[in-house]
Amino acid sequence: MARGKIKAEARSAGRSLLFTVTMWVAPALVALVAGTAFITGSTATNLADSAYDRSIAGALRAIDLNISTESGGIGVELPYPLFEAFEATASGAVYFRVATEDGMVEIGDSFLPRPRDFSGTGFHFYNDEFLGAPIRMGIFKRKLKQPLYGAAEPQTIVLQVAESMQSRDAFRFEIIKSTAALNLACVFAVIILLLAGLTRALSPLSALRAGFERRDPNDLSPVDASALPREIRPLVDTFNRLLGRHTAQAEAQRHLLDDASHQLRTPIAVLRTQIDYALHTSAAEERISVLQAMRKIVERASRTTTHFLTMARIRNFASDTAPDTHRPVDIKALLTELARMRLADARRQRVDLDLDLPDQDVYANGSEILIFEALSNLLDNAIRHSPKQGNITFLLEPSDGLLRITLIDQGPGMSQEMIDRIGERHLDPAHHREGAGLGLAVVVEVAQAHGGALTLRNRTEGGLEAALTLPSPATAAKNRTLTAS
Amino acid sequence: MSIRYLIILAAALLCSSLAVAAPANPVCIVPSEPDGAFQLTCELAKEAIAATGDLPQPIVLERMPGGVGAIAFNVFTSTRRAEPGSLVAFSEGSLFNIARGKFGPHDWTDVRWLAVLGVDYGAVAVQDQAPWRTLPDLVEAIRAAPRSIAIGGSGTINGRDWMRAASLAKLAGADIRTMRFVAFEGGGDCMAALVGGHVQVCMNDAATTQKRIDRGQPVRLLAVYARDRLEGKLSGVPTAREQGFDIVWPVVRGVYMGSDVSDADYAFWADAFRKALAQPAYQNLLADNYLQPSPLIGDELIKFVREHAASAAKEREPL
Amino acid sequence: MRLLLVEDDKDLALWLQRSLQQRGLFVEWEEDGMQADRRIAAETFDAIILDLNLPMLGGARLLDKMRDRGDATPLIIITAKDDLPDRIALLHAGADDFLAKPFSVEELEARLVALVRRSRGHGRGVYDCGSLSFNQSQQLFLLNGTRLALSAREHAVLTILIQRVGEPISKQQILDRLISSDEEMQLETVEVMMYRLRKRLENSDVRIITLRGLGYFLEALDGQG
Repeated sequence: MARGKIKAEARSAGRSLLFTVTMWVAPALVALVAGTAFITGSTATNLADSAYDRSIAGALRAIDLNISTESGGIGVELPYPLFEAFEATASGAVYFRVATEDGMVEIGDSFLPRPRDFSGTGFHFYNDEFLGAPIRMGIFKRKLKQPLYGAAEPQTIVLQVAESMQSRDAFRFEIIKSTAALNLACVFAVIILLLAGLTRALSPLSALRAGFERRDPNDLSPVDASALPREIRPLVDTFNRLLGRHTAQAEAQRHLLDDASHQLRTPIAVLRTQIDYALHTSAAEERISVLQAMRKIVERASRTTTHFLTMARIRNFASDTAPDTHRPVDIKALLTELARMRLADARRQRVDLDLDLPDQDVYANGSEILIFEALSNLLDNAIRHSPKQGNITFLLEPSDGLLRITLIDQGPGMSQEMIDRIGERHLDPAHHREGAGLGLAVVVEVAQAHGGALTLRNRTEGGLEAALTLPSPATAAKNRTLTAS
Repeated sequence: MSIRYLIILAAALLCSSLAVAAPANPVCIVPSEPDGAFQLTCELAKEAIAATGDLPQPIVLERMPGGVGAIAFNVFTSTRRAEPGSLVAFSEGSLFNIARGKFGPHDWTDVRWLAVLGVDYGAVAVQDQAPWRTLPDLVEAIRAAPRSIAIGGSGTINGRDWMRAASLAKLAGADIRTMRFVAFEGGGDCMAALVGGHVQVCMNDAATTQKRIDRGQPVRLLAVYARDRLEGKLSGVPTAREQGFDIVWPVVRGVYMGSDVSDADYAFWADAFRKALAQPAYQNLLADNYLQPSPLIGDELIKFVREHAASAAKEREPL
Repeated sequence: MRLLLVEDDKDLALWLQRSLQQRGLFVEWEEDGMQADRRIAAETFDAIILDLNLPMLGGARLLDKMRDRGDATPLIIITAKDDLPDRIALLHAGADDFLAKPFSVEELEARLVALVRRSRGHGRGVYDCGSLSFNQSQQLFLLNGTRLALSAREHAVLTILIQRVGEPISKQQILDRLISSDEEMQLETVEVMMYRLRKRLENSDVRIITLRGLGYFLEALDGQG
């Protein structure tokens, strides 16, 4: 089941990655293409203009050089021979006009549009219209060196040369065409390379998926991450750690099962032997004693069964990080119920059972059954060892991030050796703990599975003090997420 | 003793007056590009005066192009206005422009009008191989595709040549604003452009055009703006009137002098021209140059200019 | 005594029947919940032994239906230990006792007897604890056969205690039960009542036990409640 989930995620990750990249890259590419097209267009225009304006400027200069004021008037040599050469290269008509700014002298096309808004001197180029077609207008303005006919200021002379835009436009179009073709080709190449690169980069994911599909469902061996891209390795490493934890848990489970099998089969074997013995005996007395012995074995087996079931439940709880197994448990209510349930037993020995509970509600995060089990074991222990008319007190103390449930009895206490053994982290079933030892081992396991602890202490005034610490809900959640990795 | 004394005195006076009057540096200003009507005017003046023998030196021709006479007019009303030996060629167009204030701040009273040497008539010239045989052909072509025909003339829009073109167009029913008019500094330039194919029509004068035809240039006169057909070689050119366009446009050609020329010098020149224009050789000169005689000198000319200015001022400009 | 066992495991049912019969208790047996429910509705039993994991109708559901009908027949639930969190819920839902499998038959017998005796007593309106007895219809307390003189408040408090011998009740709960009849009682008043009642029961075999966090309850000196 886990395998299938990984498969689906790998495939969908690949798909959405491509999609994501496309979503990011596509607008950029579109903008790029549009941008280059625009730039190409304006560059082409500028190039064309600069090239063609140059020749207009040349014509203007040539006309200017042929203006003579020697005679005291203005003599302009007709530029038609010049234009013949000009028109040979241009594929359109060329027009000219030379005039003084005061309008007294004029030569050339009278209806050529007057220069617009150009107040300075020197060259100026712009687009205009003449005879129904667009033209490029070149203007050259300068002041005469000497004023004519004794005027106060030298007059300004305005030269205009205009040509039709045909060849210029054709030239521009050529540039755009060739560059655009090149740009488009580049963009396509980029797209193809990108797609190819992405597919190639993502292929290890498909290989990973294929590898998972080939795997035996029960195969818990780690996945080889050496051939995968660096970015994926942490993911695979985490996954391998998860597998490792499962392997470890499976191991522990196997051990538990082996142990349970042994621990349960033995008493059953004993029982069978006892039954056979009883059946073989004719003496009624003998049979009765065998039956009594058998009852003891059954009780032992019952306890062992309970123990292993609890252990299994604890393992399940510890490994199961699903949020619904970890619920807030109302400890005050739990203690009260437990005390009520065991009160009859306690009162049989005339033992007082007191609860010192705080006013506010106290919650622990975890399994209600297991916590109840643990506390129940502690209480049973205390009741069993309590002297007649003794006192057993439950003390509930919440503190920062932890809550502490202390059970104080007035019994004989516990040997230090026992205390040390119970404090060992892992329950070793080979030690055949019986009775109190077994019950307390369960409490230790429950405590540790919840991220808490059990501490046992012989009180100076006599009796045993057993303190169970459990984390409160906020702390428990934090711990869980930390240990999950 | 008294009669002889009187004769000698008279002779001496005559001689002295003659000897004192002749100005130095006689110059005729051609206020345009060469090879046009102004050049012709100055050449006529030169030859005519030379034939009288009154001037010790021959008249020298000087070029001062610009505004078809505008620049020259301004020069001779300012910096060179007192030159005793300088004559400036003018035509009817110049009179028109002066009267309309197009030559600048000075008006017709600011120069000393000297003499009209002859009369020409306006004419329409096209290339020899042009498809139009008659004036109506041309007019129709202009009306059909005005932008395809470039019409040249001296002077700018609302100048004389342009107005001739405009009136033609108006008669044809064409929009004068759609006409393509190319201005030139003189008829010579227009002819050169016509020959080069840069313009298709020249609004010119009969005399200068015919002279070019004589020289072998491939141009042809389509019409002449005279009342009746002219004499001589020009008799083959139909008038505009007979082709249905009632336009008559005589063009006087003459010379003037600067505003501050002394009365004595002015009188000398006036006398000289009176003599020159009366000679029979001058009539032949005119005829050779396809001009008609119309001698107006001194006061007569001034009167003529005044009347012309008055009527010109009233004319409405088409644009 | 007429008992009903509702249990789906045939082996357990058979041997349980036999065992109880050995002790003089006759037990009838139903295998599934629906049948059991019909039978309980139709007939009267002194007590019911109920397993939770039943086919057709679950034990908890059967209990609910019984109590909803107003059937107050004493009921003891037997089940595997795993149903621990439901234990509290079931007791609140109306089960009278709870016994985890595997159990000894002595234990079961003892509890059944106690259940029946109590319910019979309560049915007749007679409650007792050691030498102290209470007749509900006569509203009379007898200690060692002698009428016990009590003030109204003492009477009210002792009535509450004797109706739940051995089960602790807190001061606040006592107060809640009395406040409707006596508006001026407060927590301190309850304490005073306890003191006075203790005085009255001084030389008897009945005592009022106080346990912190649990409350007050009556107890007879010989251990029987």
